[in-house]
Amino acid sequence: MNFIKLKIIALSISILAGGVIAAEPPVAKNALQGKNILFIVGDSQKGVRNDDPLIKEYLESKGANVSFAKVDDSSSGSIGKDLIIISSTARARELGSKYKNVKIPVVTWNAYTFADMDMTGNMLHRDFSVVSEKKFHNSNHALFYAYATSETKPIIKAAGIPHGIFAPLTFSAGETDPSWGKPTLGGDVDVTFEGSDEKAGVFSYEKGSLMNNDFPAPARRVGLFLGDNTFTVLTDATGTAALDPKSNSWFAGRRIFDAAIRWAVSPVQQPAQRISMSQANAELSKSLKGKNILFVRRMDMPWPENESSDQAHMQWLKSLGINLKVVDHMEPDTQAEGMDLVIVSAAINKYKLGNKYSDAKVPVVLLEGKAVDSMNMVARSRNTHYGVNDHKASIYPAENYVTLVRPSHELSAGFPAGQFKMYKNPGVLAWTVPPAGAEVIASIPNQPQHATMFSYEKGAVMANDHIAPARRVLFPMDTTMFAEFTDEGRYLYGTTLAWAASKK
Amino acid sequence: MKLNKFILASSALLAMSSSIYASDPPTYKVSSTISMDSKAGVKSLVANSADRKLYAGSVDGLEIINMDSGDRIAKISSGSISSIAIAQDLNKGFATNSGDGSVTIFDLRSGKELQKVSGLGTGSSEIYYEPKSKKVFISNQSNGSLIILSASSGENLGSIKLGSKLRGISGDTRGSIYIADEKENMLHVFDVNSQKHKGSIPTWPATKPTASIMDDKERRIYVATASGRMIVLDPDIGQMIGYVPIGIGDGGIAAQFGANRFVRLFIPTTDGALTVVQNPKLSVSVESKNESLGIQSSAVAVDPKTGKVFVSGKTGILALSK
Repeated sequence: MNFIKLKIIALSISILAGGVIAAEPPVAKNALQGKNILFIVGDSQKGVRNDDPLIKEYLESKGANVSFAKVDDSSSGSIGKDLIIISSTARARELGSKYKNVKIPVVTWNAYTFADMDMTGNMLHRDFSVVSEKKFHNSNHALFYAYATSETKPIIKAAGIPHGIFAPLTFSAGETDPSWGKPTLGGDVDVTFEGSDEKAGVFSYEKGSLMNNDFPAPARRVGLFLGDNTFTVLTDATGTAALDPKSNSWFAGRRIFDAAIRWAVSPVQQPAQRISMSQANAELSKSLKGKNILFVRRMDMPWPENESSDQAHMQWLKSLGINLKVVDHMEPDTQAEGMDLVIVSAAINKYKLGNKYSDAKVPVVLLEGKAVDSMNMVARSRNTHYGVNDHKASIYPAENYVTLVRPSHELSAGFPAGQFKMYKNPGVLAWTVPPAGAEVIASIPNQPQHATMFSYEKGAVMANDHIAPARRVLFPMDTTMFAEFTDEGRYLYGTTLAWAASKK
Repeated sequence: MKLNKFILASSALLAMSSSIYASDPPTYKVSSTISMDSKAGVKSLVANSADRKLYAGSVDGLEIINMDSGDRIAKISSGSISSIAIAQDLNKGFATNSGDGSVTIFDLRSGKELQKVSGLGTGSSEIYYEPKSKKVFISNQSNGSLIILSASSGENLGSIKLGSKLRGISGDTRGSIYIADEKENMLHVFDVNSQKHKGSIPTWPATKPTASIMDDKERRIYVATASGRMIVLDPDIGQMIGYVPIGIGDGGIAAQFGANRFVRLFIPTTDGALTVVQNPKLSVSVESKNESLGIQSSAVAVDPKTGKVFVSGKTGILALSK
């Protein structure tokens, strides 16, 4: 057992001690009031204005107490602080990973520290980049436009702007060198550049979420796109522009900055309380008893193993007190009306199901990994955006473990981050590359780029800019896998149903 | 991401950061001094290149001076003049009397008083002529109101309460004027046609805005303040996009617009300093700062033809040139 695993276990214990199910607390407008901030700064590049003092003034105008520190100051200076901010002006080579392990939120716009703190990989221009005006002139112009990924993302929600394109930087106000990073699936991509989810201008990790190298975030972490002199030219609609809703949300650069800092110092989302597996069914029944759930499957399958798995699955659902209505995949999706939840079994045939239930206004839990594109949950390119681990000629082998990357999410059911034995034996497991609007709960061991379990909140931006009409979840349970569940895996699944059905 | 040397003192960092501060010797020197009848000091200055006249207001009234020779052309003894506006298209000038709450309307050619509009209330601060609407706007620093007059008839068209302590006014060609509010630290945006308040633009990170000037082509407003900073605002977005340190105390502002998007700004402050700011390629920086001219007020004007700068000195109006 290596050091990281030990840390995961230690973290899990602390989670269990304090665990209660709670939705993410809101981010207060006055969240910075009285907060103590350590601001790690240096000198700006030659001939470039240094915005650090102005940022200090700005944060102080919001009620924070800000102290400057230099890169070679002891990290003990962070004791008693509520937040550490690392400016792009700090010399990253000298700073190294000094603040990687601190259990205090860190906001950094020093792109090299993204790598040093395991917030991204460490390869320049692949995992993170600084876009220099002169070297990447056209890219720099592209960075005058950014994309808010989804209103459901915590920082976007706090900023109060809609999803879509906006202007973070003031055009013709001087050169500046923004940056981007590519977080892991445990992070949230809040703002992107150039329409690419892999070029995040703003990204964040909840405390405990797995970052690069499966390193759990010791506290909240935020990566921002600012360069040495970017703050001054962050857009901020006031005056007449603020009265026009479209101009107001278009010129939102400073609002995003402000929201990111406020989110970082706000109360964290606590993981769900973990329970004993002997109580699992009883606990699930509390949440699911009396729920009206539509189960969509292919009736009377010719494969006994598949049929028996589906039957056992339905029997278990009924045992929880669910009012289960079972329909064939060729039935119209009006069957979903009035239901609390739709489960689309992996026993369906994607071709026959078509795009039914993709716009259902009730929550849907999808078990068929290959239908993620027709459900607008993942983009359209098979074997690029989605595929399967299986026993066939796949380059990804059959698997029974997943990696939980977001332990604070209710869908993680209180289980700690790290490898999780979902099934007793390896089998088919869906892999996907969902868009930034999703929240990834689990990836696949040794496939950190592949999500196997993810969710969308109602209103989230799904693939191809579809808006989730209600909650959506991909849960990786292939046709025959119900019987293969571990107790923990089945509880995770039951929790998924309870979460999805709890809110339309 | 460079850290060669760290400076702990935040004040030092502040000074370094706010601009590329030039410590060069002053580039503007007194080329002549224009004597005034009034010995009380000039409170307002307007240079009208079209008629080559300099209009100077003081507690003793309005003096009209030949800008090239320095000779006095006319004088209107209309009380304590706090601000002046020129309507070249109407051949009229307007001068506020902050003491009795009146506006004197005068003929540009003859320099004679045409009309006096009274009953506007004391505390008037600045006056601005908007040529498209042919309206005159007067800010009031006592009651936060904006008074509107017909420039053609002098008729009082009404007033609107905008804020607290209204100061300088600038305008664009799109029908908006921007009124500094020294107490509320913002510019109020006002539509001259609908006569409606269209929002406010904070002047953060500066406070106490006192005067502003519009660069309509580049869509920038340069705002002088009494807090030691001049702010560059984008009026369309409504945001600060740059600032530089200036002197302390009430600041006035005048601009010289040159070729290739060049702008030079002259900002006298009541601590006696004249800060010259340049904004080539929209990147603002201090060109020079002179604290030895003996400047007496925030009044300032620039002759666009000669580039000569006029400020209030101890013994009259100082004409400055490079």
